[in-house]
This record gives sequence, structure tokens and C-alpha cells, in this order.
Amino acid sequence: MSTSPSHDWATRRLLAYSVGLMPEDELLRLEEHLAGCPDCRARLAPLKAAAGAGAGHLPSSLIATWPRSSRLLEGLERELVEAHLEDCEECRAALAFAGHEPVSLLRTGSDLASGTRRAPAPSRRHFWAWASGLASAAAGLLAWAAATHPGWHSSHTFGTMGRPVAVAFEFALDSLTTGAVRLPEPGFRARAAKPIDVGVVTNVSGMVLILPPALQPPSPEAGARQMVITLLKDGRELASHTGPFFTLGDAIRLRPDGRLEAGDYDLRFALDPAAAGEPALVWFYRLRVR
Amino acid sequence: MIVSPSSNVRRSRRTSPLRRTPLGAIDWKALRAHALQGLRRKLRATPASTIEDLAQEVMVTLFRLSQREALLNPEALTNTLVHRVYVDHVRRMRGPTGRLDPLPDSDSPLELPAQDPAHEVGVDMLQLFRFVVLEHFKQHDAPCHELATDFFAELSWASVARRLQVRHNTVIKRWSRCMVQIRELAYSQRGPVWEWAREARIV
Repeated sequence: MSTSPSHDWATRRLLAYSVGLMPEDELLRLEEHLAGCPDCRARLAPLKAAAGAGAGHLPSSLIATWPRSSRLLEGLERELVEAHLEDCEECRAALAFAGHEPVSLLRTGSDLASGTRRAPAPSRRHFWAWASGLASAAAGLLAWAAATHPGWHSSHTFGTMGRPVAVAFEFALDSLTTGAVRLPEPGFRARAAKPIDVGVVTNVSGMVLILPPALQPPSPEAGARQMVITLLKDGRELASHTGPFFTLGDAIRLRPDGRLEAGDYDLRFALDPAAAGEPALVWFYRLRVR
Repeated sequence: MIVSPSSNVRRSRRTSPLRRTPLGAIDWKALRAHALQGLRRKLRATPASTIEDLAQEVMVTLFRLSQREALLNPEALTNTLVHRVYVDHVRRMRGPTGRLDPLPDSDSPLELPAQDPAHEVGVDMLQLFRFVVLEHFKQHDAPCHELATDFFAELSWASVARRLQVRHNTVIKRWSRCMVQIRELAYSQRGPVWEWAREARIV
């Protein structure tokens, strides 16, 4: 068995390699090493999926511990497990064999998507926003002022009669606002797996959306980054707002001047990258207006 | 010697209901007792509830195999799966930064790390991570899904390149684009899968 620095390096990188997450420049080097190192190949072998447990299906360990483990899933991982179970008869059969039902996870996911659950108490991670000084407070006041003067942050979409309808964005709302819909953890660069029913959207109450943790800045630095929120219909931009990430707060409202036409809308959140050269982070939600 | 699970099943080109093992043809209760016994022997100091979970994992995999192929020797296959689940369990107990060992012979004991009561070893996060990556690409990026499926089956980009009949460099370049997406997901998402990946320092 080799004990060279190159071998030590390779053994430390096998896990990243096994999940496909090695930088391009290191991949060739590791594969060259693997070709000539039986010890590393032997260490990699147990990381191959066992027969009958292909990576394209729910892991047997998840199914075996389903009542406990499925509850721990969050956001996208939960969304993907849920979507897979809806499509995969084989995994549903395996769950049934293990004596579990997928219903619990699916029901919880649907509840979240349809917004029937009330909002939780404000997150602890928001303390920084309140403690970040006069600059934040001033910006928050600006956001509030803009919210009470829809014209400040409005653009146009189309109402039920095909006339242009202005849509105002309001920020930093109370997450307990009546009729608020809680957004699940976002998908990535794509529309959410399921449309979120937001009901009828009129000028009276608008559409109040409670933001998930992923759409709340984890640090003051992140909060200073620019967030662009865009409402789209059939791929066309209808309304947009650009502002610092931290001004979003716990919940936002989209208030049309009249009534929003029934149908599916996409709401896109695009966050400026932390460093130059990195791509922007983009999240989509599909909203179903009745 | 480790017996590959595939040596105990009759292979067919495509899964056909006719080739499946009828549920009633297998004594699941006896196989479960056999799996429990094998796991207890290998993991003497492990809590009974963990042994139950691992036996259930063996049975689920066995059931899946029975639904795809005709099982020729379910008991031998159970032994193989028990050993495999045991090895996977030890890896999970070592955590995302633990060392990786070669697959040992079926009779060789593995050095068990101390159990951390605060850290439950349930789902195999490595497998769940791969599942999440594959499922994400299945929904959003078919070329990346194809690459990921091939790679996770073979764990060799050289093999993937041969199958796709492209140069090794080319397939790695194509995968780099997919990898950027996974890294961005890991940055933007919360949940045990992404926490595991961050803890393992692979994203």
C-alpha cells in the first residue's frame, strides 16, 4: 500500500469524488491516482450503491426509518422526495412493505404549499437586522413609506379586463397578517414542483407571502446584497423591484391596483452574488391566482 | 469473501413482472430473524433499536431486489446485505469527515467508533445526497442527470467517458457545469442533506 503524500491526499478526497464534487483540476489527478492505486479503489468500492439500492430511488435507510427521518427533511430535499414518491411506484411499494405510508410527508408538503399553516414566530436570525443600527432602520422606514405609497414601487400587469394593473411591493410585513401564504423553501433555477394556491388577489388584501429561511439574510453582509423580485406571467415580466436583501423582512405583499387575472404567475427572487464572477442565486415560485 | 448481491439474483434485461419473486414465495419473517441475528453478531454493543433499523434496511433492499429479479438464494443474499449494511453503518457512525476503509471480508470485524448519543445515525446521508442531486437534475437538467446517473453507478469518469464515447477531459468539463449547480444548491438550501455536505467539506 502506498503511503505517499499523493496517496494521503487521494484518500481524503474520495468522499468528494464519490458524490461528484471535486474541482475539475483535481479530478484528472485523482483518477490517474485511482488507476494505479488498488488501495484507493478498495476504499472507494463500499461507496458504490448496493444492488437494489440505486441512487435514483429513495435510500433504503430512509425508508427503513421513515417515520423519524422523513420529518427531518426540509426545503428542496423534502420537495424532491415528495415529487419522487408521487411518481415512483417502486418506492411507494417499498414504503408499504416497510409498514409506512408516504401520506404523512405528502400531506405536510401540501399543507405548506397551500399555506394552511400559520406562520411561526419570527426567526432568531432576525435579531441582527434590528441591531444593525440606524442605517437599517432608515432603510426599513423607506420600505414602509414605499409600502404605504404604492406608486413608489409599482409596475404594471394586467387585470381581469385586460387593462394594465399596477402592482406594488410592500416589505417587512407582520408574518401573522390575515390570509398570508407561507412559501416553502425554494427550488433552484426552476419553477417550484407544485403551484402554490394564493387564492383571489385584489387591491384590498393583495397577496401576502411569508418568506422561508432561505429568503432571509443569514448575516448583515448578506443582507446588504441586492435582491431583485420579479413577477412574471407566461415568462413575461409584469412587475419588478430591486432593493437590499434585508428590507424584505418576514413577509412581503404584492398589491395590485385592481384584481389580478386568474392563472399561474412566477415570482422570481434573484440575489446578487457575494463575490464578483459568481452567478446570482435565483429562486422561483409558481403562484396560482384564482 | 464478499458475495455480490447480483450473484444471487437471476438477471433479466428488463424488469418483468413475470421474473419477480412472488411475495408469498419468500419467508420474510424468517429472513428478518436471520438478518437480526447476523447484525446482532456483528454489532454486539449497538442498541436494539438501531439493530432493528438496520434489519429493516436489509429487508427493504431485499424486497426491492425481489421486485426486480427472481431471488435464487434469499438467505445468502440476506447475509451479503447484512454485511453491506454493517459496513455502511460503521461509515455513517464515523461521520462525514471519518476515514474510509476498504470493504472487509465478511468475517473481519470493523473498528467501531464511540456512539455519540446526540448524533443519531439514521439515514445514509451519502446516499440521500446522491438521490437529491439525481432527482434535482431529473427535474431540471437532463444532460446533468445522465452524467450523474452514470457516474454514481460506476464511480469513474473514465468509464462514463468510454460509455459516452467522448474524451475524458470532455466529460469532466461537461460535469463541471453541473457541479456548479450543486454547489449553489448547497449554498442556498437548508436541511440535513446540505448540512452533511457542508460538514463533509465537499461543497
